[in-house]
Amino acid sequence: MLNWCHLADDDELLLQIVDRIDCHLNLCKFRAVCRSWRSPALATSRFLFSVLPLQIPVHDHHFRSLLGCENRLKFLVGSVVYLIQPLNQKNFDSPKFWVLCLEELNPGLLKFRYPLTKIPIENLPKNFPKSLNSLRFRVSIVGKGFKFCLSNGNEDVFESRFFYQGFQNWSDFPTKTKVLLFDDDIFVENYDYSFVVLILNLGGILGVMRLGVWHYMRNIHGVFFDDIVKFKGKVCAMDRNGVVCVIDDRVSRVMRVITRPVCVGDANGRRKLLAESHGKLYMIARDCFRFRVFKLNERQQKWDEVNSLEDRILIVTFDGCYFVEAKDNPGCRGNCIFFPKNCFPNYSNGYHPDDELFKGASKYLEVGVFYLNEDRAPLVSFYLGLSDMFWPPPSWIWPNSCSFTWEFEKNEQQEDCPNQKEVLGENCDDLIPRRDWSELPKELLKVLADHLATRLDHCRFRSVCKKWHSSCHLSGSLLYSQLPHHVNPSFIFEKSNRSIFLVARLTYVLRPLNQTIPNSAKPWLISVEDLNPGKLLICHPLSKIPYKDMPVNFPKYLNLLEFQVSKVSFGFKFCISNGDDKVFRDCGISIPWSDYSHPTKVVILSENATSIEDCIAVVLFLHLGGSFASINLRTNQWRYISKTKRHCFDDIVKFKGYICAVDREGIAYLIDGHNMRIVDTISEELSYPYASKQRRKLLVESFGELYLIVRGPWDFRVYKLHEGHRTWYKVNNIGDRILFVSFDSCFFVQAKDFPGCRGNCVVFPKNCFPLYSGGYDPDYELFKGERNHLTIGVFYLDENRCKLLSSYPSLSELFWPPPSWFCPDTYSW
Amino acid sequence: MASTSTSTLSRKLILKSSDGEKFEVDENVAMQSQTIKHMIEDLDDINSPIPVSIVTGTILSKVIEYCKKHATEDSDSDEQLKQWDKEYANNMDLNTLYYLLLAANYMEIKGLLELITQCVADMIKGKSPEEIRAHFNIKNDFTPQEEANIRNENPWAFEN
Repeated sequence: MLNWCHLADDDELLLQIVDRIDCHLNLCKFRAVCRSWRSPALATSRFLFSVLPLQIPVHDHHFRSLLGCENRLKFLVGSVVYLIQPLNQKNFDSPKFWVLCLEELNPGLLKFRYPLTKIPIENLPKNFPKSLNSLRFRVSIVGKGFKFCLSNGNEDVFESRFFYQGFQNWSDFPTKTKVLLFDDDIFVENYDYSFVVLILNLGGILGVMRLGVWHYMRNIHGVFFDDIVKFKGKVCAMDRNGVVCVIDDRVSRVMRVITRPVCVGDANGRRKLLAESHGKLYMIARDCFRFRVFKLNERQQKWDEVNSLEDRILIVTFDGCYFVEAKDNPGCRGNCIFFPKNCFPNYSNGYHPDDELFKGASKYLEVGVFYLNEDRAPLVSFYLGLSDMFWPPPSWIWPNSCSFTWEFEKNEQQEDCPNQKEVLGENCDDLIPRRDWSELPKELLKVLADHLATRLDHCRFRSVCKKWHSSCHLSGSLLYSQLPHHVNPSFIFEKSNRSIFLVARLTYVLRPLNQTIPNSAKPWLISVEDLNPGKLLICHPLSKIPYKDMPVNFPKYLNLLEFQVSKVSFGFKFCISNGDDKVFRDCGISIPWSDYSHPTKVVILSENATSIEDCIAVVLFLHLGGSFASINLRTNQWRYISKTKRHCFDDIVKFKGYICAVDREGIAYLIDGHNMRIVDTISEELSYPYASKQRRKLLVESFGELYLIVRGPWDFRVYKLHEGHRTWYKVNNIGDRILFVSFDSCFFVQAKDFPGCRGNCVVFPKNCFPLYSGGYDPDYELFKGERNHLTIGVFYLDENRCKLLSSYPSLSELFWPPPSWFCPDTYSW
Repeated sequence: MASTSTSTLSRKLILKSSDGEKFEVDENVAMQSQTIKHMIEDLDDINSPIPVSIVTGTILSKVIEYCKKHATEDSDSDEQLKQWDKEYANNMDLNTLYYLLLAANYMEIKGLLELITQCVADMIKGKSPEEIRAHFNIKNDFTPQEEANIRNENPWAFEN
């Protein structure tokens, strides 16, 4: 046989098993098996339920208004009714069982309650052990109950002021709430729970709390419920007419009614209870001093009266009714019902038989017994020996060893409220410890994650801690969570039958995290596109030509967290599924730019919106000479710029939330992307006549400033907008910055971040500044004989002519080849 | 009723924080909170203080500051308002942001929730997991193995 001890070689596995052990008792047994199963990692601080007491999230206003203005935290608390027997009955004179109820309000500390009345036991014998070793007894669980309470145990959780009828009589009901969990196993995962709550002190209102949100039962308004129970895995509720319905947790409504109303005479005016046993459902109704038990006849949807419980004892408690076998307890006869005082209140005020029945009974033994073959229910103390089941604790419970595992709460009521420091915003000064942001509710963490746009940020978010991890899901796209976005067909596209996508293209600077790698300080500048979600296409950051001849050792995957990754620029394009961006109609006109290599430029407005559909995409059509239009990605409505005269625009950028467009004269306009109206003219024409007649000009925005890049016959000029003067002023020196020019967006970087590179230059790809006439372009001469990736020019503002990138090795290395630290094995390359 | 017209103009509500501090605010200021709006609908007597449980006076005063700014109609331009929002958020320390986030969520003030979440998201953007943990005082509760798995779940896969 396999030796299961060895499982412990892998703590993870054991932990997974332990996660599924529902109660502390079984865990104790588990840990007692052998040394290796006793790993300290497996100990838990909670005894009864691994996650109870559980603080109830109350961010939902429906729920809140029910809870009223109490500013204290509410908890879901569990209690368990145990039946304890000595392991070896022969050793004791009076073998019998002891029924007790343990409740865990403070994690790790158990409180005794009388199992039926749920009254806390305060008068334990003086020599009663401070803790019990549960391994010394045979312990079986009779039933489990759940309720809401405050941190001090007070059950007045639900305030009554929003309810106006029917509850008054029950407002002092001893147990205020009864809670059932839709899925008992759900406690393995801490946060995804849903439960149904019967609010007894409000007369029997039913609500469902699902994932922190409160719902009333939708289709049963005005109906009061007597009891709820788990039956065949479903939560069933019974109303005052004895009608049982099945509650669906997802829609918070009654799914199915499984009985007709029942007439039980006098019991009709009194609360009725449900009990489940071995797949059968029972109803317990009370006449004055008699009890009647009904069993559900599912086929005929009615209640059939049961004349005998046979050798079973039915234990009625405030949070559940349970059957136990009488033969387990010598000296006990079956076919009876044990019930606490006040568990079957009248719906209306007035005489209640319990007042008479329990007159003079000790507070702790307000329990009655009813044998189904008798007429009247006397007190439990009437039957010799029966009350011993509950009180006092049997003599064999006293320990003869000193190893203890159950610890009990001290009897002194501690008035302090340990959780009060949790109250929002209390003492928000520097003295108090910093908040742990993993405590934020999951729903808020989800909202936060939605505000992050890139997969990288999502990934980092997920790497923070377990709770954050489970609050954020990774989308298939690598760069931009909601792109590629499929755009609906429109007449504006060349062929209506092809799928058109809006795709993001981001430019990154990659650096090794570990700067000590020798000769590795060189960063790498690349653009990546994720047209096919999950697969990135690497292209040249300026020319946007995909890199084809990758070194053989080029990694297939890149773990972003192993590198320092900074985004320097981003652009978008419309394209078909193979990446071709010639998707727009050319209107049949032949103009010099109709075969422009990058026919459009796309700018996205409000791209931080949580949904891409809330964004506006503005497209500049260069192949049409420079008109532009916007598309609302939700309505798919295209809108052209409202023109006063025929305008040809050279470039568009986002500027202060608007579109800034510059025309051939250098006049810059602010345009509202939503309605495509010109809001303002922010500059006069450029005082450089050559430029306005000759070549395309480009815009670049940097830290709220707007620049215009103008290419002369041989040189470059950079202008900066003076907004007050509405004038472009020439900048003679851009300082220690490098201005990178590209087809989808231009950007500045600080030269000091790129070792060996000097600033004050413009780096530009071929064909980015075409002549309006389409005639002779000095680019042909400049780039003659250069290969694809190297058709990049550099112009230093303090020099007088453009040179090839290859003249500046340190700049050139930023692009190609990939740096040695990037490819794991530099030798083969 | 004769007083109707005047009372609609200047109806005042009293908000009571969790620690018992009371704030008198105009109805249109308070009504930016959906939660309070619902509470008012449920209440007969609007003269009694409306409890804003779980929000302390310190935080509630900040929430009211935001609501007041966004309730005035003589208003500044959108841009000025945005600028004000930005400064408002930037002046908060992290703990205050935390509570404001919970408060905005609980009180259902859409604009404030949007503002604070964006502000926090901006703090998260571009930070490494270690930096995020340090910034937000979060303990790393992953096992090294789990962490390694999570770190490997986000590779860039390249097209060839």
